Amino acid sequence: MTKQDWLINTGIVIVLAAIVVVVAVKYIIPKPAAPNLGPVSIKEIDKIQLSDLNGNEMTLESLLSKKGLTYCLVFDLEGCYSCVYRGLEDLKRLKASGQYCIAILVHDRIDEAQGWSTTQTFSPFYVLKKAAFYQYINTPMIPVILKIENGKVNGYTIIKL
Amino acid sequence: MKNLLLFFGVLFVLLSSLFSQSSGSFKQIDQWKHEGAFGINGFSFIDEQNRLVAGFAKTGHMIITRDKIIEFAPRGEGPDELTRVYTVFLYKEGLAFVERPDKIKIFTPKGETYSCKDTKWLKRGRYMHIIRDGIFYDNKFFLAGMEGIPPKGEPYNYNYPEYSYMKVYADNGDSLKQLVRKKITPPSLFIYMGSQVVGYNSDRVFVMLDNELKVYVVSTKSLEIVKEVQLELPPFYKKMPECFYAWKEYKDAAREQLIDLETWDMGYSSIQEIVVDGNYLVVQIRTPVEKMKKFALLFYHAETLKLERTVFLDDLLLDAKDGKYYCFANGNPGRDDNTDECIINIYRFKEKK
Repeated sequence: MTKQDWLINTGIVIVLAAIVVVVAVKYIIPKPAAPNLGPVSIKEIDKIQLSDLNGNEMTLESLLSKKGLTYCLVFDLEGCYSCVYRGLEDLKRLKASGQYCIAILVHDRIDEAQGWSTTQTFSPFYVLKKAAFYQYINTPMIPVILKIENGKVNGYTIIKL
Repeated sequence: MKNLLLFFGVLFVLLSSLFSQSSGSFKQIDQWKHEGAFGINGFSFIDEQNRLVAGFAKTGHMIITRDKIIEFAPRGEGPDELTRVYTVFLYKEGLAFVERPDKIKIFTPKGETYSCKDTKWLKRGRYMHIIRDGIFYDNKFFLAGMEGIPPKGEPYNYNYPEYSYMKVYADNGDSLKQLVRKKITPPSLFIYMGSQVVGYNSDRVFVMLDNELKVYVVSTKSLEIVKEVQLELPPFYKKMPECFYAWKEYKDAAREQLIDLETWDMGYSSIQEIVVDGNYLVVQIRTPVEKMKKFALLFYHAETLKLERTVFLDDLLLDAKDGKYYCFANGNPGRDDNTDECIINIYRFKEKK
C-alpha cells in the first residue's frame, strides 16, 4: 500500500466514523423525554384558588375567557417596580384593543392588595397566595404576561426594562 | 518684648475662646448601654416619650430606652408588622413608617409600644421613589429620595436623565409635586445617594443631598424652592468626585458594590444626618481625615445659613429632640470600629454665659 492509498483509506474511515456518530446521536440514542412543563406553565388550573379584592374566592379556571385568549399579568410588589408599571400599561392597551385581560397579584394579604389597587387605574385584580403561586405556576421571572387558551399557557412575555 | 507678649496673650485668649465655642460646651449628659451587635443603622427617631425608635441591619424594629429594649412590629406584611422600612417620622398623634413600595403605615401608642392604626398608599408613578428620609409637615408628606422623571414621548426610555430628590404628597397619598430636580448623565448609580429633609419654623423645609453641602429651602405653602444656598465648607471637607457614581458593571456586585458604598460613606465628607435644633440647622458629616474625630456637627444658623459652630465627635448622630442629641457611640454600627455594643450617648449644647 502506497502512502497515498493509506491517506485515502484513513480519510474514508474518519468520514464513515463521523457519519456513524452523527446518525447514532440523532436517530439511535434515545433522547430524554421532553418535560411536561415548558419554561412557563400552569399546573392544575382548576385547582388554583384566587380571591377578588373583596375576599371572594374563585378558581383561576373560572376567570378565564370561555371563547378564546386570556391575557394574564402575574406580578408581585417586591420585585421590579417599573416592570410592574409597564406590565399594567401593556395590559391596559390590550384591554383597550378588545382583548380579555386580568391581573394577578401574588400576595398573602387581601387588605394590602386592596389598598395597593386604589393607586391603580387597571381592573380587575385578583390575589393569589404565595404558596399557591409556587405550587402551580412555573415561571423563571415575574412580572410575566401569560397568554392562556383552553386552560394552557400558549405564550408568554416576561416584562423587563 | 512686653507688647509682643501682650499680643500673643490676646491671640491665645481669642483662639481659646474660639476653640471652646467650637467644641468645649457640647457635653455628654447621659448614656444608655445595652448588649448586642446591631449592624448598620437603617432608621432612627426620638419619639414623644424621648425613646429611640430604630431599626438596624441585624435587628428587628426596636424601642430603646435607658433601661431596656422593647422589640415591636415583627417583620411581615400583617397589620402590626413592618417590612422594608425606609424611614420613620412623627405623624399627628403617632408614627409614620414608610415602607417599600409606596406605603405608609401609621402606628399609634399602645401600652409601652405601638400598634398599626392605618395604612396610606402613595400614588405610584412609572419609576420607584427610593425614599431616604421624610417628615409630615403642614399636613403634607415631604419625602426625600430619588425618583426618575420620564422624558416626554419616550414611555420606555429607562435611561432617564432627570431626577427629583424631593416629592410632596398630600395626606391622602396624592402626589403634589416633584422638587429638587437634577440632570444626571445616565446610566448612573446615584440611586444609592442619600438625601435628607427637616422642617423649620412651620413654613419651610430644608432638603439636602448627602454628596453636597448645599441646602434647598422649600416653602411648605407654595411648594417651591425659595432658596438654594451653598453652605460654608469646613476646611477638612472632602468632596466626593463627580465620577464616583458613574455606572459600573460590577463583577461581584455583592462585594464590590458594598465596598463602593462604604468608601463613599467613610472616605468622603458624606452627610450622615441633619436635624433642626432651635435656630440651628445641624448637619453631621464625616471627617475623612486620620487623627481627627470621625464626625463633625456643623451648626448653621437656620435663618442666615451661616456656619456658627463646629463640634467634633466620634459618635453617629441618630436624632435630636428638645436640645438633646442622641448618638450611637463610636459611629455607625457594623461600619465603624468599636461599635459592637449598643451605647447611646446623649449630648446637650450648653451656651456660654
